[in-house]
Amino acid sequence: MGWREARVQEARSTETKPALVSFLRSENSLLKKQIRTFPPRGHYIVVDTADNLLYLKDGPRTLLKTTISAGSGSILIDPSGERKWIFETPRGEFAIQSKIVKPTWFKPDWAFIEEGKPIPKNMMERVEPGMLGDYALGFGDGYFIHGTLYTRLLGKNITHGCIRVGDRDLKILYQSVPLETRVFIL
Amino acid sequence: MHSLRAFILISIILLSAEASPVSEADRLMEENSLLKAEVQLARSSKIYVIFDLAAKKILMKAKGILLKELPVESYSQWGTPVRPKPLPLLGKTALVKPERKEIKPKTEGAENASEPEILQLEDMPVRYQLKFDDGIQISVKPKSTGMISTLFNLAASLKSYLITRPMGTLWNGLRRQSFTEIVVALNENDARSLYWSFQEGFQCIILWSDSSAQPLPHRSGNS
Repeated sequence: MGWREARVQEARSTETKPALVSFLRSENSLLKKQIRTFPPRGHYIVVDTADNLLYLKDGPRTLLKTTISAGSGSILIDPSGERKWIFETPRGEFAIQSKIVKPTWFKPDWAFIEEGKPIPKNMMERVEPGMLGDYALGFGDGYFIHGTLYTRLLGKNITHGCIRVGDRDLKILYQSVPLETRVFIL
Repeated sequence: MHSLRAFILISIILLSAEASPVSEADRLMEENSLLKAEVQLARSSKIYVIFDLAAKKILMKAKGILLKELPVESYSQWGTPVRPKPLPLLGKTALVKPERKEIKPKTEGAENASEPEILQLEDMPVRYQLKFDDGIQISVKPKSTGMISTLFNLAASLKSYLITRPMGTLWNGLRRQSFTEIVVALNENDARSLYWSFQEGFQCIILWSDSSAQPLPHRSGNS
């Protein structure tokens, strides 16, 4: 039996409801304090993939709210049948791990398969400059918050898992968030 | 007559004086269970959901932060009361479940293929069930806004009262399990949004609404 359980039982057994109430009040206060230690300090990002919205927040304050494009949830199967991709934006808590200016997209295999083109052996044939906008913020496993050429598609779930943001708001985001900034995706 | 009035008055005072610490202790115990459950969930890096029926809110949270709030238009609860504890979502059932769209690779020469079909929020159902352990299920329905949705909701209520609840109770009773059904009505967009965001394996806490209890203090969270 843990000390908390022992104290609850003690408070109950001594027919002292006030003691139980007092104990619960103090324990609840401790638990509330504990919960308050979990949220990140400073800026954090919230991405709502259902409504395709991104919020830059500082505590309860919203510093930026912008329309984005998140993952389509579509499936691509390699014609050989050996590989399969699900283009979904991952959900949960992440952290900004990299900040890149003028990012270059190295087209992965799925991009060639989707376009019905052969997968190149030469790495240079994968280089696609300008596709990711002016900035990219990596949040792990090859997922980025980046710019887009297809601004008319902002607000739709169209991406391969990354989060596309319009140029102006991407710049604000890049300038506002340091590395290790928490990203919550739901 | 005066003595009868005095007796009634004193009885009421004594009863309320006796009842007060009990309900306070119960309320604090309830809050204690909720806080312990939330501490457990907020420690992880996963999104969790709180169904706060008394406050008529569904809260999507992570690390104790409120990420999104969906107002509950109305609700009903039936069966064994649920204690606040982390419950993983085991599954979602709907009459028409949204299916992932498969991308067809372009064939050579077809440069300008049409835009790929994508799964959007609009593809999500507005009527579905969320299944949990302990025989708990939450049925989500859209709030009645017109003749058609009212008729559908009426049919859903009849099904719930005439089939789901008695059969669920009987079936689970035979297996010595409890049965709980909670029905929440949301606006259509919020119903779809919950289906989209609340994924299998995510955890939730259900705050059973006890009309006799005082409401819990405002939930922790910084937004």
